[in-house]
Amino acid sequence: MSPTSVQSVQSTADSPLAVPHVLARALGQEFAGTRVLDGIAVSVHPGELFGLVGPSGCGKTTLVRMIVGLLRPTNGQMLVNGVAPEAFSAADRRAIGYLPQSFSLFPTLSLQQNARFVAATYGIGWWARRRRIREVLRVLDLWDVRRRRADQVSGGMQRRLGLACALLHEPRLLVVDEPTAGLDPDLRVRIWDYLREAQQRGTTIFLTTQYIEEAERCDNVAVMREGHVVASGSPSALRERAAIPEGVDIEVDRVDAADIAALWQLPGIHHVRQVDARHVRLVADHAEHAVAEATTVLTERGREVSSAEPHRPSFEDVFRSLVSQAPTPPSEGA
Amino acid sequence: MRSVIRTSAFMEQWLSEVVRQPGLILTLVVAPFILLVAFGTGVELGGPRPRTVVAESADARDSLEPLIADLEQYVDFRGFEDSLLLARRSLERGDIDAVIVVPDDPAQFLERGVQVPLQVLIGEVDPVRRSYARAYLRDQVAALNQRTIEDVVSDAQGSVGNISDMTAEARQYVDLLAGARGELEEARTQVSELRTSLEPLSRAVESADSTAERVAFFVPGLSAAAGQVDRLRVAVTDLESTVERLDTRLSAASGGQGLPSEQEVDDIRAALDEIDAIAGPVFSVSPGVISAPFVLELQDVTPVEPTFTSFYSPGVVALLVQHLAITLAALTLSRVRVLRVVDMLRVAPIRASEVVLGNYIGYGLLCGVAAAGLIAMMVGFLDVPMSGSWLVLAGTVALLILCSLGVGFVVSLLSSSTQQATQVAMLILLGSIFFSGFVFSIDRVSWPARALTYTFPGTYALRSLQDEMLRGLLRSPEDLVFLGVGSVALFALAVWLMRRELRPR
Repeated sequence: MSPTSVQSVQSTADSPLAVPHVLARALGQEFAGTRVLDGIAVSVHPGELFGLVGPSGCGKTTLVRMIVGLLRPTNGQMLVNGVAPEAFSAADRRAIGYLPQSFSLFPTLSLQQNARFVAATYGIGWWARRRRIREVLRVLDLWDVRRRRADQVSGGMQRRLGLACALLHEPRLLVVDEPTAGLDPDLRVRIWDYLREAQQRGTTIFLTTQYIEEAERCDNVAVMREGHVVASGSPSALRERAAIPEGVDIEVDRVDAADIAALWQLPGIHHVRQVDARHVRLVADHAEHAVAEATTVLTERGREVSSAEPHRPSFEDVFRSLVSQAPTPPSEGA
Repeated sequence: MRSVIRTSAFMEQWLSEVVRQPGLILTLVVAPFILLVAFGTGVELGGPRPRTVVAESADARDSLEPLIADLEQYVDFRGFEDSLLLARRSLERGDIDAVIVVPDDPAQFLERGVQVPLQVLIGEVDPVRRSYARAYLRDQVAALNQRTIEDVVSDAQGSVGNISDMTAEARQYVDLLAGARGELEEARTQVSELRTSLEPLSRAVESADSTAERVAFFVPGLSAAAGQVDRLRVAVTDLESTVERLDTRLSAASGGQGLPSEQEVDDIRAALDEIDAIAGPVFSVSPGVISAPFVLELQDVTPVEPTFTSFYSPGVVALLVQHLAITLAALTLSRVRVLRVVDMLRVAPIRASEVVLGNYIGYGLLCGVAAAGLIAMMVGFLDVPMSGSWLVLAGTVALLILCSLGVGFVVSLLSSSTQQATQVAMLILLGSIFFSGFVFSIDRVSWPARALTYTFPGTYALRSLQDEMLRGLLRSPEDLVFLGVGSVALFALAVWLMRRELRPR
């Protein structure tokens, strides 16, 4: 299988010629003879929020660990800020923040002590450390519980503590592995808010998630399956590539068979169904276009349109479609 | 500056963990204190007085009373047992430690000129205690023999009576003989009296000679004394012969013929003087001196008199500090691995040397505080003397901690799990107890097993601490050199292994 190339779209005003913060070419990884990543090509540009989506076990964490320098690629090339991870200098490491998938700090220390420890490992001086810890813990709503032991706070707080520690040294590239895994919906929204805030301050973010719908919040997305990137691009581009028909629900004062026949004549319409005397449902290529055209046709035929709402398919449907369209990866050893 | 900050990360982390975990302080610092106190106050010096039963027939009990009185000085005498079988069962059950089987009539053996067999049954399975029991009982039998000899000698001396009184009585008759010049009848009478007065002297000397021969047979060191008694017997026999000849001559004499000359009387006086001269040293010596002519005079040149506690306490401290440092360090990386903090370290801009050094400082401070507390308690509470330099003592402990931390970190970095690291730390402690010179002197360990003794930091520290505290001088300064070189080498190895650990996989 040839490498799937992803050229992300710039979401900020950075120059398109700027060095990508993450650049993977034909990247592969094997564990004990088992190939877990194959032909990965990813490019993440400064200021971008890049999402890697895929089911559990598809290789997302392996790719993350290669980006931060925990794993050496078996083949291919990985450059982070223009440097291969195995050749990272201290300065290169200071430019990266990392939130691992699981809690990786000292459970018997308080949140503040854990933050102090991580800040010290990055060489942040005492005064700067105090200021920075206060700032980050406040932003992440952890300041009031800073003296509690890490093993005595909720999973959500532990996750935010991990994020705080990853942000303490103000990295240019933040690599977060499933930041919202196992969290309730409210907390997931807040985590995304924090990530957006970090992005707005100029941090490039590379994240993984198994919540497919979260991918739509990213500037660019790569969809993974069984160690391969099967599709990539902006969420809207992926939606288009998936080509899943979209639905429209229309409510009118009344509808008859002639109205239904007129709607069938519209371009891009796949299906028209009369739900009851006042409701019609359409299936079209583009819901937005269908809403406008159906409203015009019905109004011209003397009907009073009360509402016309497009129903886009979920990104999960898009994901499923993209995955089903992708060729099946070669079997092991093929 | 950044390097200092990164290194301090672990020190702060450790201090925070310690402050937050009172249980940890209890385990690391207070528990060794309790162990040391228990050791210093609870372990008794010396071997036990074996609980002993004497198995013999009731008929012989009275004749054994003197023997039992002697035995009670050395053993915990629990009584008599008629049945040897029952005595053996008590021994097998562990109710008693020894059974002494005494022959019914010990005197019969002595009369036959053979030693009295004292059969002792023991049921100890501990080789050390078995060895101790054998040596102890052998010692006690020797003491019993000595007491027996002493009694025999004393009896012999008592039975001999006072030789000088007997010779004094004989001299009176010699003087009367000398005064009976020309008086044949008077001379006959005095010679007869003289001859009669020599008879008890002759019997006493014969008896003493027989006893001396027997004693000399048991105690070879007494052969000189036995020789003197033999000389005495010869002198008395010669004198008796002389007087007998004189008596015979006077009986056959008539007129002025055959009377003893002045020279003959002087010869008898000289013979009596010789008997006094020979008998004086032999019979004036105390039976105790004859039975034990040599006495041990032990002179200790050490500046203090070490007690059991003061001898072993420096070793306990050395082993506790070594174990504390090795265990703490050995569990470091496995804990960091289990908590996945190692991934944070691999990603962070921290060097392997900073990780190792930071942990050294953190753990080193903790172990230093524990060691200082142990030593303070040892000196203040257990009265262990401090004869040498506190500076050398502190340096020894510091080197012990550094070297032990190095061992611990290397164990930690080479172990694949917490269980493995813990096991290795425990094995090192076990090995140290056996091979560091704590239980057995290193001289008692033969090669190649002795090579093991030099692999434990505690071996060098134990010797140095004992010397510095009890002797006031460092007899093997090279021990500190070994500890220092070991510390540096282990630190370098730990840094190299940590660098390998932090590398991308």
